[in-house]
Amino acid sequence: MADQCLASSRRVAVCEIDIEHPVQEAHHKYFDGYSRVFAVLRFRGVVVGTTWLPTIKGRITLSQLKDCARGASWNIWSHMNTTFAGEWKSTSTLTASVVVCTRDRTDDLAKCLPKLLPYAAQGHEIVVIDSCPSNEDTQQLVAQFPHVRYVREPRPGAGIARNCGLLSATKEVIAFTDDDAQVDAGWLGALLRNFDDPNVALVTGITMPTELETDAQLWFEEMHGFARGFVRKQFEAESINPLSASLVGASVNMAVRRSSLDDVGWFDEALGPGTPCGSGEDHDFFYRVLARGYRVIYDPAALVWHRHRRDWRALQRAIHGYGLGVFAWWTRALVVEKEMTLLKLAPRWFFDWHVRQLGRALLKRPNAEPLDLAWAEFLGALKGPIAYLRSIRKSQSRKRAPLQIPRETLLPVSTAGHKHIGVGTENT
Amino acid sequence: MLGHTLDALRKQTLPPERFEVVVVADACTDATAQVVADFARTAGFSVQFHEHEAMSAAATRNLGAHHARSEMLLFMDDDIIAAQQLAQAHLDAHPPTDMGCNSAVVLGYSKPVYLQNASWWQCDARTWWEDEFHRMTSAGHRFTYRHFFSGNVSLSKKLFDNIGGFDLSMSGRLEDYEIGARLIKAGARFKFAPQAIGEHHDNTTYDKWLARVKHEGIASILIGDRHPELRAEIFGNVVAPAATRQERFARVLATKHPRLGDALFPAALKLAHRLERIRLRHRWRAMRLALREYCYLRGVCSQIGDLSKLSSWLQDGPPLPTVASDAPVVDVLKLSQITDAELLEASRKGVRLTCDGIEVTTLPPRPGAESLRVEHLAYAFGEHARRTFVPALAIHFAREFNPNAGVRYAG
Repeated sequence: MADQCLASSRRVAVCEIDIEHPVQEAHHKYFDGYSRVFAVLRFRGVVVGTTWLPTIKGRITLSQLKDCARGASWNIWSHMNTTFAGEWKSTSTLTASVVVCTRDRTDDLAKCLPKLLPYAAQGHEIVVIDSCPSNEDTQQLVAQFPHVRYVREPRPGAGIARNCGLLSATKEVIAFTDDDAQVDAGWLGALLRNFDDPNVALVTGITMPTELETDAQLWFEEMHGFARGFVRKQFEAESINPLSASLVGASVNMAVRRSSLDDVGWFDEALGPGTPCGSGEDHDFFYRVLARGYRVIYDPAALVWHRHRRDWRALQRAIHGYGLGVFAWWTRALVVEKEMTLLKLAPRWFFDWHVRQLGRALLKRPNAEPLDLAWAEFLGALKGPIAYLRSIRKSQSRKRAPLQIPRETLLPVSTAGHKHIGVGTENT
Repeated sequence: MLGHTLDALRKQTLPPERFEVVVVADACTDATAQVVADFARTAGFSVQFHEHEAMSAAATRNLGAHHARSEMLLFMDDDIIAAQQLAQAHLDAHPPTDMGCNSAVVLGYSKPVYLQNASWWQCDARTWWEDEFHRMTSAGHRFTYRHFFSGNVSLSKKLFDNIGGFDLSMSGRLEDYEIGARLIKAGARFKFAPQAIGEHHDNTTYDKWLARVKHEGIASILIGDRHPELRAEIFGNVVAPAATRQERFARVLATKHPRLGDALFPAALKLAHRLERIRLRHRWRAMRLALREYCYLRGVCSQIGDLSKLSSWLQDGPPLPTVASDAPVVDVLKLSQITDAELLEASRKGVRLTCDGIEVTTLPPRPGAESLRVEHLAYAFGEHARRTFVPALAIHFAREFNPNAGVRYAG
């Protein structure tokens, strides 16, 4: 599998296409060395579609773009629909805390932070949570950005890091993105305007790949990806089963309303990367937002670019983690939330998806997952419930004060406050 | 709870010499009088306390209004905790020139307090309230009699006296809707003041709500008796068939076998609670709809008899109005030129909206809704455009996408 870690011969160029100006796009973009292009179609800044286009002598043609525009017409309508009638004359004066959780990925973070700096100038707050770092590189990097706050969280785990972010943030809305992601120019504004509706507790956005250079990245985008469509969607418990919360988005691109946290609760620290469960802390959180009767909005106008894992082994681990995470989260939902429907849903999902995928991979059916990935996900799903119980035991062994939302966090956070609750130290 | 409500009034930004507080206790057996007396000693503004035993929110509010000495009345429930700017925001929302005979009714924002471990019904209720208030923030929102929420509302004393206050015979049964209907008829202008925030600590439960729904059924008939034009608005021109099997069953029980229905009701309620406990959402929702249908129709039938009598009662009233043949035609490109007389006629007869001479949509007269304003027409046009024009534009955009006739491959 080592060769799959290298740049793929099938590598694909990622490019943005403004479909209002197709002639310029077709004439000025040149993709040397790429046989295919992953075109992200944008209409007035909003992603209205994606398409895989073959290149002809390193270029894409106008007729290809014409077809793209036609294919995206429904999404264009949907975008115009939400903006045309003036619904988005947002009167909101909300400000946000942007939280970036990172762990030993200083190079990625160095690309991520500059994109966030304009928001600091607009009165928003930027907080970097350094989760259980093995060195001081991240701290030194953040020190170069005077408007970015650095908080060290000594304990590993994405749920723990996110909770630390919630605790450190001082604004009414807390937006999350990852260190390996780069936000688009209008990202935060697009997230925030959805909070005009007081029933909305969570907003997610669309995530596109920054590069598709390796087989791992290509496979992930083709088969998995983070995009949840190109039209704005509204979710609530009446319209979607909260146990299908993964449909609403991913934690790489989301914002939460602070006032709903009293009711919804925090991220489960036994779930997520860095714990035996591998993932699931975001989907568990989404589930609780929906189950408590709040509204979730998926708005493709909020765009984040994400660098997918380049390495095949890292991808295997991630897919294994997804399998683990879903069943670990469902175990929590069954045990803690008494979601009895899972007794029917979980086995059905296991057989209809995981066993079937494994079977298809073994039989080498068209478009089947690679066998190693299907096996990794299958194993993860099998181990999920046990992993959650192990993770619970492990997190209970780490003594800490129970998390509460201190009202004073609405004011600037003091270092002393952090010491008191034991989430780490702060360096501004 | 009353103590908290009164304490919040102490913190108002409105100067204390500009308002007084009238507390009316209705058949209270607790220490209400003592709480109010303690509060009055330190309040810094005038506090009146009155007691009676009417067991009626309508009579209690009327008594409070009777004793009030100010020009403006602000009704608040005892489960509303006022934000500091509430009273000021109410006053600011009233047009200053009208202080003498103000026709404005200002609705405050009774923000539901998010209960921890709220039941599914409470979550739905919170969503409903928030949606109602959120819709009111839109400039083109057309208020109806259903928007009068007496928990946080202000109007001039003169207007309140002119329309005769709350109807005592409606007590406990949608008296808000009834007074709302009379206010609309009297030409009152409803207005939403989003800054007049009061935290609404509603302790209604699912069981209490179902009991209230039964009263709503009774009240719907009473409102229809007093305002026949609202009959079809409430029930439709004819009684609509039940949408689901469960609702059909509930309807049969409520109208034909009420005794059996009443006997089965506690078991059904228990089942609904059990469905919630094991998180069977869809079944719980179906059960909720059926129970609501049962309680509502039980109330309706207890007042009027049965469904056939309801049908003939509906036929006695006027049907839902349609756009009159001589209804005014308004072009959205000339909305700024429309006169008040035209708007009044449009409210009575309906209106045909055109865009550059082409008819776009029609708005029939709406019983129980306030008179049309220019913003209402603009909003209606915008909504129509959103559903019809914009898809057409998108299709046009996709179809006409031919930027360069002599296309050559860029390569």
